[in-house]
Amino acid sequence: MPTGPRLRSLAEQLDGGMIARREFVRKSAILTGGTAAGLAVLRGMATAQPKTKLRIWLFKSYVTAGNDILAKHVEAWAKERNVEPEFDWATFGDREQKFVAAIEAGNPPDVAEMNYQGPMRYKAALRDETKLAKDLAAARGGLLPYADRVVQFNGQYFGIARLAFGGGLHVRKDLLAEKGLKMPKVYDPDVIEVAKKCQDPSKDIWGFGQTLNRCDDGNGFMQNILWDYGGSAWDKDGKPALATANLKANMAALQFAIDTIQKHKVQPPGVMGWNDASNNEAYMAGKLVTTNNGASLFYAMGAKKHPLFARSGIATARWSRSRAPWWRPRSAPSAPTLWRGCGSWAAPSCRARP
Amino acid sequence: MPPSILFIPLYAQIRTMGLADSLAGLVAAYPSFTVPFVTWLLMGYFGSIPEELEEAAMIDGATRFGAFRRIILPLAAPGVLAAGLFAFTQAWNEFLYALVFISDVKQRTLPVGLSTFITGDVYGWGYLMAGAVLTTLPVIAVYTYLQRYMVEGLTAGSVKG
Repeated sequence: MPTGPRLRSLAEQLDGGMIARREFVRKSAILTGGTAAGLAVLRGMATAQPKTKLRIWLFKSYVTAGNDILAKHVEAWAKERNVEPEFDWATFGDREQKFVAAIEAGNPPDVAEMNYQGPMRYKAALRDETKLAKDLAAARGGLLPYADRVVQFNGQYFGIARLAFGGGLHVRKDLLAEKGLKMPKVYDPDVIEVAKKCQDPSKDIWGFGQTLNRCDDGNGFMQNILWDYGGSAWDKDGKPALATANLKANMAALQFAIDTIQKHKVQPPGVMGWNDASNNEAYMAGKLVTTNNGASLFYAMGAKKHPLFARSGIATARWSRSRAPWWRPRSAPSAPTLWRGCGSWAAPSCRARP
Repeated sequence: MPPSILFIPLYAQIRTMGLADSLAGLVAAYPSFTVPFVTWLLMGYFGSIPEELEEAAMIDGATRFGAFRRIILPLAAPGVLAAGLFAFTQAWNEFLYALVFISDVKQRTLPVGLSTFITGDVYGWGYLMAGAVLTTLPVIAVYTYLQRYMVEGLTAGSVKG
């Protein structure tokens, strides 16, 4: 890059508070040969610069109050640092293709909010944030182990953990009580049995609402059952193993997911659609006995004082350990009904495809 | 060629041209699907115009371009108009390129703006449908206005001996 744009970039970083003045002087001195004239020019550029724009891509979540709070936090931070944030919100359906295209085209955002798969999925295109991640974590007493596993790979951190969240199988306790059934502990066979006994398709009430689509609920469910059937999308060395080393176990997990629709017939019509219509909204409409969802459904029902809130429970078998199976050998598939994840910030590299 | 195959390389080109995050980027990208479609559409239309008309014009002293401009193009006007309308509708409805190429909220196109009624995995169907109806109004207005000319063009001279 020619000296001019590099100087301008440095000046912008200084204005945005992204580098210290000392670092600015040191780097600019190298670029300009340390001449007083060069530094004077740079100072002029730095003070004359408009606010630095920071492109931030955020996930537009189901909990709109959470979106608002997040935006306010970022805006307050940006005001402090004299940065002009430029938000772009995306949902499940738009996020990945937009992000992949931006990386491939060498035009990624400065900061992006990641779901729990993001750091692993995009690590080749993300900056190594090890120092910052460790400093922040240390200042707050360390990361939760499963959050650490989401953002850290082989000692390198590709994301700054922002939040931890849980999710699980929301269950209509009242419908189970009518049939004298206990809360399910695992998907296979508990949830299937409960679903079959409690559903009433003639009344459009279905036993299990679980999309397999591209949303995080679908991902979370598939991740759980892949791991619990002994499979994984990756091998222990971090190489893709979906259809290679772990094919057999992965196929068994996928077959279970298919069976919920075709064999057990506990899922509502249209569950294979791409818009997740058979999940939280269907549950709140009283059309589902169980559904797998993040804590957002629990929050939404509580916040709206939904009549089903008091009649619902979350199956609390045991936490999915958020581990791939090489850490946790299994003897028989079970698939616990709870899961947890970690959202994070990541800074994509400005270079084109790595 | 499906846009899902083209959008990444096109985005790279748009970015190289310095048109990322601008409506000019869309203007540059949309011909990638409108021009092939319009060309295919008009090939048939131009093929239906008798070649003899062009030859007659050239015998009367017109150049090839003159014959095209004065004779063929006016005759093809309804087809050009129809093709233009289809291209306009395609560009108006386009979603993927507009979603990927533009991040600035102020530059968003209507289809991308409509998608903001989707929150997480919940679809605000009422807002989406109402918004979709509203976004069709300009298209309907254009069709309504230009339809008159299209019909005029299509029927011009049909009853003369």
